[in-house]
Amino acid sequence: MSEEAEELKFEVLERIEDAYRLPISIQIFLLLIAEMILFGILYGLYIALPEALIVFLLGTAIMYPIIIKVRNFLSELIAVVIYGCLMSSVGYYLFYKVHTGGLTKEFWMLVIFVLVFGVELFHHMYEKAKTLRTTSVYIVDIILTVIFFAASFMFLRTINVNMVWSALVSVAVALLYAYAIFPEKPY
Amino acid sequence: MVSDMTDILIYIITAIGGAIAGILYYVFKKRRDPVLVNVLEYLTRYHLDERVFSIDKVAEGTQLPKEVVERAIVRLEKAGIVVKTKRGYELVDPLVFLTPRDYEKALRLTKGDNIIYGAYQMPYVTDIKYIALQIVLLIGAFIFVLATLFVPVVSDFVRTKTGVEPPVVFSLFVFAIAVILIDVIDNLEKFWIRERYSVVVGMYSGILYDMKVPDELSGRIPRGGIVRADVDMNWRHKIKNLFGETPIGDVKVWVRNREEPIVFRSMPYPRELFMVIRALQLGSLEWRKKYARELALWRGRVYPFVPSYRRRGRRGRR
Repeated sequence: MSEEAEELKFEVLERIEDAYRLPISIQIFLLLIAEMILFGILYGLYIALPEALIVFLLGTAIMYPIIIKVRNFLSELIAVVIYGCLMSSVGYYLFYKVHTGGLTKEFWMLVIFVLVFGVELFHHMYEKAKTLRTTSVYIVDIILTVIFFAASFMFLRTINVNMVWSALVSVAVALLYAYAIFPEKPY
Repeated sequence: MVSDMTDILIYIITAIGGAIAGILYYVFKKRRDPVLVNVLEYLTRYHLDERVFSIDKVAEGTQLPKEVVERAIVRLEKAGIVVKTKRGYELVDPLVFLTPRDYEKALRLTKGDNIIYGAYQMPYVTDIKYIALQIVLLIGAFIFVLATLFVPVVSDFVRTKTGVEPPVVFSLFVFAIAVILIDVIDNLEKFWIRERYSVVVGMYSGILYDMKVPDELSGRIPRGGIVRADVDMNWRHKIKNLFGETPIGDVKVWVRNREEPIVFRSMPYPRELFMVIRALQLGSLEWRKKYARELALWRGRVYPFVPSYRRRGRRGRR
């Protein structure tokens, strides 16, 4: 084997993505800095605690997968816990503080928002879910699409769109939703 | 600060939500499957170059029951690690990121060559106009949410026009629609690049690539025609590589009797493509075996990809 080939062999990294990412210590440092800035902004703006908690969790949920590129059990567990905290607090806040009425158009709008936000945030936080093509993922996506269809239909009915148009538009937007959330190849 | 019981409740619910999510993850997290690891190790060790194999052969090589091997192979087929062809099962090279349809097309067009790299150029991922469109949609919708919360004029306008109370509900709805639109645009972009930007490297056929949409890999750089190759990453690639999903970069290939290089824009894993092209030039592909197993395990989701950092300066100190 030529010297050039030997050099080539040496250069090939054992772990393919390492070479493209920041070292783990820098990733953690960046996340901590970002969290401190976020905390400072919320504190400086005198945002009340429940809202501040939700915004802090939202900021963390958005930044965590962008900055932390380690894929192991602990990093994924942290991501899932942040997701669980955020979704439960958002769900509670929206349906018990923002909207206090019955099954009105506002309620269905919030259901649509939670369905989109929940899935997209989950894909953002747990990258594997976006690309994994398993039966269980397909079943969950189908169930969510059906709920989305029902929420769209009910929303359109509450704003007095007739039955046929409500059904047609709901099918169209549900298909768009399905197209957006179904597993896809990352490349 | 904590005004009433509902405020306390939100902290409790947040903690419970996090705990439930964590427990669910722990319970449903798939453990590393030793059978799959065994089968993958065997395949990457013995079938990276001699790719066609049968279930009987793997069962014999791994000393595992045939039914167990069959189940493992089916799982690997679903993950895109192996593909079933007329000749039997074939191991897909770990650096092939093509869809099964495009992989079969590449095999057909190269007359069954050993495809050692296959992916799509992703020129739009770092395109300013494409990024701007996404930012305008997402940030615009987010600003609308903030405006309905903090700007009375905007919230009054939304309330009057839509009759939604509180107006933030309407802006959250608009935000959701914007997010769906961004995702749909992203999916359409991926569909387009799969039709237009395939790049395939075959062990004997060299580099083949699409030149236009109805094309079937008509661009061709034969092995002997490669003069030089280089990886080029601009600042947008760098940012994407540090914080994005898939590492990308431009790969330039200089071809004999041609002054300007052929540029493959925003290729996934550009350094690996560069290595593949250099290896083709040098006729040395042995190094692939060194990390084929690792990559196959990761792509097959058999095991989480855990980077371990070895600082170069400390390697020899122990």
